[in-house]
Amino acid sequence: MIEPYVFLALAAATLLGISTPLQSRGIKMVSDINPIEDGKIQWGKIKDIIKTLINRYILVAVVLGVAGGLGNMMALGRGEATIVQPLMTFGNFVTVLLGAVWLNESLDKLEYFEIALVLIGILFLGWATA
Amino acid sequence: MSDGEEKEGSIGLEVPLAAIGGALYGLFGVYLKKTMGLIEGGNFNPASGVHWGTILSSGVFWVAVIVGILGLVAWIVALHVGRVSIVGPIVGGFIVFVPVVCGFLGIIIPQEEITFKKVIGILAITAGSMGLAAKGE
Repeated sequence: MIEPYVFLALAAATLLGISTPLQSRGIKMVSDINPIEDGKIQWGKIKDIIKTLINRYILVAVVLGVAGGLGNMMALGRGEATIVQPLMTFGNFVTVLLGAVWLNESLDKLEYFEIALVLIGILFLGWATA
Repeated sequence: MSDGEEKEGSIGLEVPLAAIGGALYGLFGVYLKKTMGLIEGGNFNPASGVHWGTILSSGVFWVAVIVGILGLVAWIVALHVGRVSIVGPIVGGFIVFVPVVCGFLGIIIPQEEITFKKVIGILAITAGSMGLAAKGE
């Protein structure tokens, strides 16, 4: 039987993987605000950046990121680092998958092959704990 | 100077910065594992005040935090000066490589068993995620 910490690590990686595109989207909302004009820092603009940074995308990303981080800590406590840390890269797979599903980004043959490699790696690492 | 030209000029920095960022972030995982080893049985419970007390009062945890922040800064700077298609895979590779080497050799954390299934799994997941990291960041 596969050790439960494998699923814990995958759940943590999933949360972190969902949090990444949300962070990017939230940060993009402030990219239009330039706090420096004529070589001087505009403190009002910095306030605007901070206000804009507290948006729903960033807030959800922070919650998911913290939950993912705690899940990573729990998995590391219960399992081997040589299994848990490679499994945390599952987050990249989740991010790419979300891009394909939500943002209709296209995947080429090489990317499907890379996804298959990640899934095969997860199977082998899960099997290694069985 | 356009953004593209600016990146062209700083491309020599992207590889070392990405490697440093990835290695430090990998070390963050190693020190986090060492910190979790301070909790009895490794069964960390985020709702336990005693567990948080143990973690926050240990020097190892703060080493992990500092190493993690430095890694993140190097990673962000690497992404700023370089190309995602280069920085992503290098960071992704080092994030896996450092904890695996530390675990297999017993550096910082107790030595962990090397098995055939584990090696195949690590190689497959590293190769796949390095490729995906070039697109996914």
